[in-house]
Amino acid sequence: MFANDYNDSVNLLLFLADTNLIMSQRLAEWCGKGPTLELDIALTNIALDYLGQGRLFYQQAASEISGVTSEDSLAYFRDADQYLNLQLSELPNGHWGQTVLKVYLLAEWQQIVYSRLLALSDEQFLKKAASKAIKETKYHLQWSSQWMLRLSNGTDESFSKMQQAINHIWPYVHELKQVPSYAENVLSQLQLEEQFSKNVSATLDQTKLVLPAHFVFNAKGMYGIHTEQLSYILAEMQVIQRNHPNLTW
Amino acid sequence: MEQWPLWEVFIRSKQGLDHKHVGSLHAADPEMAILNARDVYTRRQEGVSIWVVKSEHIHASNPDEAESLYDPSSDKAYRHPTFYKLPDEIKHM
Repeated sequence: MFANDYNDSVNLLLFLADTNLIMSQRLAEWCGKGPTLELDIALTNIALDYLGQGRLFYQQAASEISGVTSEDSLAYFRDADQYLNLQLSELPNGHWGQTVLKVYLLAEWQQIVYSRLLALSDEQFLKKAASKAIKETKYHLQWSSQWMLRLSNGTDESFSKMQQAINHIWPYVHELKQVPSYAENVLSQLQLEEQFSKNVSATLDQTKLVLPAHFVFNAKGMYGIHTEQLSYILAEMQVIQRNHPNLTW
Repeated sequence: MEQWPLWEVFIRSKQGLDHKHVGSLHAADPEMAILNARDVYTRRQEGVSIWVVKSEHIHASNPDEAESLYDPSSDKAYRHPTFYKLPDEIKHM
C-alpha cells in the first residue's frame, strides 16, 4: 500500500503539481522543433501554462510541509518513486499527433478535476488555484480538440498516425479515471470516471478512430510507480541543481 | 511540408477601439488561424478580439500609381476642415 511521510493534502498537491511539471518538461522538448513557427509558440505557451500551474501547487505544498522545503526542493530533489504524476504525462511526445493526443487527454482530465475543486469553499487554496488554472485548461482543450479532429478527419496518413497514437497511449488512460486514496475526500471516483468517458467520447465520436480492445492496464503513477521514462526526464531536469545545489541565475 | 496559406491578423486591443493590423501568419484553416493568432500576437494581453483574413483576399493599390493616386490632393488644403474656429469644449480634433 502507498505510504510516504506526507498527509493527504500535501500528496494531492504533489499529484497535481508533478503531473503539470512533467507534462511541461516533456512539451518543452518541442521548443525550437515545432512543425511551424506558430505551433512552436503555441506548444511552448502551453508548456509554460503547465509550469505555472505546477508552481502554484508546489508553493502551497512546500508551505504545508514542516521543515525547510521549497518549490525548488520539491521539483529538483525528489526521485522518480517520490513523484506522483500520472504516467500519461511522462510518456514520450512521439509524433505531433501523439503529442496532441496527450495534451487533449490531460486537458479533459484537468477540466474535470479543476471544475470539481471550484466547488470547494472560498477560502480553500485549491479553489483559488483551480479558478486560475481552469481558464488555461479550457484553452488547451479548445486547441487540442481542434487538432484531434483536424488530424483524425484529415488525410489517410494523418488518420493512421492518430490511430497509432491512440493504440499506443490508450492503456495509460485508465489511470486518468482513478482517484488516488489521498484525494478521496475531494474528488469523486464515480463522477470522474463518468464525466471523463462522456467528454472523451463526445470528441472521438466525431472521428473514425477505434479504441483498442478493452483491457485494463493499471498504471499507478499517482502512487509513485512509473515507467522508466520518468527517470530520464528527471535526470535531465535535475542535473544542474543536484550537481550545484542552490545555484541561482 | 507544403506551405499553409498566409493570413493577415487584426487585433482589437480594447472594447470600443478598431481592429488594427498586427501582422501575418500561416495556418491551414480559419480556426487554426485564430488560435495561432492568439498564441503569436496576444501573449502579452494585447487584445480582446481577433480577426483573420486570408492574405489573398486583400487587394492592394499599386505603388507605381502613387503619383496619380495621391499627389493630386497634396495642394488642395481646402479639403481639410482647418478653416473653422473650433469651440474650446471640443477636444481631440
